Amino acid sequence: MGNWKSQDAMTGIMFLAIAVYFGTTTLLQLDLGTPEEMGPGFFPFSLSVILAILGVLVLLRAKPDEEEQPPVNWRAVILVGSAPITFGLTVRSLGLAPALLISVGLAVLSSSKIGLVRGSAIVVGVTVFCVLVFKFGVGVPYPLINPEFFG
Amino acid sequence: MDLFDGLVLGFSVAVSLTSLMLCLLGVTLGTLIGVLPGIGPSATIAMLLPITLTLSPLSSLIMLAGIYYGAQYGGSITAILVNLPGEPSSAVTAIDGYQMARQGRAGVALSISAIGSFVAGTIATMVLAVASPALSQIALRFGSPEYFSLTMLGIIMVVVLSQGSALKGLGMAVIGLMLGVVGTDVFTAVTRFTYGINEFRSGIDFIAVTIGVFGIGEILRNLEGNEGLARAAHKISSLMPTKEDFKRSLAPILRGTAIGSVLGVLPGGGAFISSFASYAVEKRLSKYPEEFGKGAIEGVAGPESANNAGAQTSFIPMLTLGIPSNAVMALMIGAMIVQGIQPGPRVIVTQPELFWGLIASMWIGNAFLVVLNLPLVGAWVSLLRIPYAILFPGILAFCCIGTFSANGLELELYILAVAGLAGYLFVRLGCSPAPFLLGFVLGPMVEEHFRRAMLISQGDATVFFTRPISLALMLLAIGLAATMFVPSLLSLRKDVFADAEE
Repeated sequence: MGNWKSQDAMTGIMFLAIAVYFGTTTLLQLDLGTPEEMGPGFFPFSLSVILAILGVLVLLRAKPDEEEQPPVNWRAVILVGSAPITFGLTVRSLGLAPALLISVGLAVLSSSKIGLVRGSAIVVGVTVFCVLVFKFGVGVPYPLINPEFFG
Repeated sequence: MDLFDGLVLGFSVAVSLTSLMLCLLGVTLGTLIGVLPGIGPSATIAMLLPITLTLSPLSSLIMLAGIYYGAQYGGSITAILVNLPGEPSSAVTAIDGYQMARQGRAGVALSISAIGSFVAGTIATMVLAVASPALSQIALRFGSPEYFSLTMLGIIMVVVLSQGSALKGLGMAVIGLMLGVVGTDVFTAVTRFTYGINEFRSGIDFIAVTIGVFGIGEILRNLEGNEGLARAAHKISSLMPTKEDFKRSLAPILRGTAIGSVLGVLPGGGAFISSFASYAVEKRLSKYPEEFGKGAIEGVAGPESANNAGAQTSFIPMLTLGIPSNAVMALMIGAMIVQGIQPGPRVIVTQPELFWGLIASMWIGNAFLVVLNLPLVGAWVSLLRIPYAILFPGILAFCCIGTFSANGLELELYILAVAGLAGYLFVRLGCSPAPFLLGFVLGPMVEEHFRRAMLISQGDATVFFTRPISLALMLLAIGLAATMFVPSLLSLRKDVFADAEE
């Protein structure tokens, strides 16, 4: 086993964690029933047991990583991960166009290779493109700009 | 309905202006994303799913199918000219295709791969037209035990044939099945894992999860590397292969078509696995094995035919059994469900226009692709100059607005973000997301058939082994699962993947 940070070891831990959580929640909240007449908990509980076994097997057979992976780009993870959430929070209150501007802006910020001028151009370009495709092409029924907020 | 009537019906709906336009749009988009490394058909189809909700079921399937097989054509352009697989299924093409390009024979390699793909696409489409109605007749006799065994077989095959550790693959499939549990239990109407959220009662939305895992997960993966590297493409000279080239390519094209047609049907198969199986076969059979790796035309002709044939025939289990054989087919099933069509053996009978129209459109699409690829190859090559810095904000915006426009729920954007981070975590841990998606799509079906079969048999689990078809499927699944633990087969599997990655 050796290295706890290897891909295999982390996968085993992830499998076990999910199995334990899913299994105990099922046991606490759902009726298992009998094999003749299964309750809502029977299938999820069986899955938890299988996943737990797989988790242990993965841990036992864990090998060190063959090649080193590039480092995680945490800036990108945080900014790209928060873009859909920001979009969700703003699309109704501000409108489609501002929501797009903000979330594309977050995406552009996640790459250190994009400068200010080029970044702004990308933000505006992508927003215009998406508005054309979705508002005028597909015809989504959401206002471009929420008049109540900006009015 | 016999084959001829079917094809007449199919062409009558596939040559309508809308169908032709959407087919062209699909294959163009497919070629585009095929050429560009870093964005694949799964992510693209997931992103475009919400848009297709406004189209008819046939139109949406025509377009989405076009993206998948179009990507097989496009992937070879990048593989040959830049030595980067535009698509994973073109990875083996890069070996000899790029060597040909270095010898100034890029045009020939491109022509042969387009011709091979077209021949393979035509033959495989015929296989699809002949085999599907027959298979669906058998499937109509399936009961719950057979369906359960079939889904087990499907999941095991995807795990065995996908890259990486089989144990991890199985675990990912189980996690997918778990996610499919969320919602209201169909037997008892009890809600499970809904956390008091009303929208979760009907299950977690398929579109948001797949766009997240494939679309956003892929962006995060690409942003960690050196995405800014300049890509130098080789120049294209003459497109015309010599007589000798044709002579050497003919047999590999036909063999590749056969290999791809068979492997495509198998769950877990499809374009990717077909291409490197074909490469291995050609290397062994060739009269010039020493040329492989140094620009052997067989190494381009075989795999490129195989991956296109495999892409076409992987529709067979999806259309006849309702069982997806790979991630793209899982998305197709999702597309049919959101359109209100229940996938399964009845589709061919109840929706003949859909089935035959899709088949006819595939042939038309393949013809479009030859035209798009050969004379216009220069235009596609110039696309390689687009830096990823411009692409990914656009992809991200499409992911967000696409997810939101599907149902108009902010909640799904939050699912999208979580699924995206989960998808990236899976990739970092070396876990393939394909079995996860398959488990998620099949989850409700697996549970329903399992419980129904057990209910009918009064809790006797041997029901899966006493009915002949179910027994055969189960034995096949168990046999396959066993191969994962046989050392010699294990190393063979590793060799094959290593061959493909070289």
